[in-house]
Amino acid sequence: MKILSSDKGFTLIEMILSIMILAIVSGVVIQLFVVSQDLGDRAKEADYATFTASNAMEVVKSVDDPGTIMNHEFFREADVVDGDVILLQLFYDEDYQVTTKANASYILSVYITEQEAYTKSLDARFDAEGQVVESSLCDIRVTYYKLEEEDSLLTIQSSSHYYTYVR
Amino acid sequence: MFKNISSKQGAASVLVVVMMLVLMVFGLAMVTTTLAQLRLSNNHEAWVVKYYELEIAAQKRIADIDSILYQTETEVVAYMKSGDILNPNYNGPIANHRDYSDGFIIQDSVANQSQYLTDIFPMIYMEQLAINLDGIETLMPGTVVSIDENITGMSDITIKSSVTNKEEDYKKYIAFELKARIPEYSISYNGQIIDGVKAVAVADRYSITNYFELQEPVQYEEDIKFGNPFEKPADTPADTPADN
Repeated sequence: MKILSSDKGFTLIEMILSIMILAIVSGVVIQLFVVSQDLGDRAKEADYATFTASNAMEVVKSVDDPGTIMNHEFFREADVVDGDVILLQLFYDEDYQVTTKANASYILSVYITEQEAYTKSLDARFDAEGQVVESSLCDIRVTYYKLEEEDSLLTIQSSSHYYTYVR
Repeated sequence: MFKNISSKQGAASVLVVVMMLVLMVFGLAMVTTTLAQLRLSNNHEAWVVKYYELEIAAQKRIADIDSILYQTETEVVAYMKSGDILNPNYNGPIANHRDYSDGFIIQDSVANQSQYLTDIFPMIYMEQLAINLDGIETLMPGTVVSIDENITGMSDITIKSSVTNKEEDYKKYIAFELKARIPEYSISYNGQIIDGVKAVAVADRYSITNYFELQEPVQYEEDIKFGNPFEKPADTPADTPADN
C-alpha cells in the first residue's frame, strides 16, 4: 500500500496492467470500426449488384430482338456465348468499373432462353415467300457474382415478349 | 476532499478513459448506421427481385393474349388463302362466312374483288377476334375485354389485365392495357388464286397502351433484432410463383 500510494512512479505490473486494459478497450473500438467498414462495403456491394443487374435486365427488355443484344452499348465489352441460350458476361473490377476478365472482381452474367411453347411464326405473305414475323417469350436471368465467392450476390429473373423479323 | 479534486494526479487516465468512451460511442454509432444501410440495400435488392418475378407473370399473360391474336390471324389468313371464302360449303372456324362470300360474288371485276377482300380482311379479323376472346375472363382472372366502335366504323378491341404476387411482404401488382392491332394485308385475286402481303412495319399484333405497377409499403419489423449481419439470407427459389 505504501508503494501504491507513493508518487515516485509506476511499477512494472501497474504499467503492464494498464497497457493490457488499454489494449483490450482499443481492440474493441478498432473492431467496431472494422465491422462498420465491412458492413458499409457489403451495403455498397449489394447496391452495385442490384443496380447493375437491374440495368442489364432493363436493357435486355428494351431491345426489339434479343438476338441483337450484344450490339447494345451496355454490352459493348461483353463476352458473348451464343448457343441454345444467349449468354453475355461483363466483368467489373473492385471499383465496379467494366474491365477485362483477367482483372475482374465481379462478373455479371445474362442468360436469355426462348420458351419454345410461346414461339409463333407467321409469314408476311400468303405464298410463304415473304418475311417471317416471329413472336416469342424469353426467360431472362441476370446473375451478379463475386469472383472469390461460390454463391451469387444477386440473381434476378424475368421474362419478356418480343416480336422479331426473320429473313 | 477539495484537495483531492484539485489534484492533477490521474488526470491523464481520466482523459484516456473519456476518449475511449467517446471512440466506443462513435464506433457503435457507425456500426448502427452501416447496419441500417445494409438492411436498406437488402430490402431494395429483395424488392427488385420480387418486381421482376411479377413481371414474369405479366409477360406470360401478354404472351397468352398474343397467342389468341396469332390464332385469329392464322385462321383468317387460312380462310382467305385457301379460297374458303368462296366455298359455299365452308364449315370452319370463321363465324360469319356467308356474309363475306355473298359480298364477294356480287363484285363485277377481279380488281373489285381484290379490293373487296382487302377491305373485308380487317372486319373478318375483328369479328373473329371477338369470338376467340370470348371466355378470356374465365381463363385469365382479372382480364377484361372491351369492344368499342371507332370513328372509322371499325371495332377497337382493348384488353385490360393485371397480375399480383401473393407474398406478405413486397405486395405489388402490375396492371396493363393492350389494344389489338388490325393486321394490314393487301390482298389480290386473279380469278383463281388469292394472294396477300402483310405490311410488316406494323406486324406487332398488339400495342401496349398502359403498363404500370403499384405496391404496398415494405413491412418493417417493429422490434430490433440483433442477428449476425454477415449471415447471407436464404436464396429465393428460382421459380417462385408470382401469379394472378
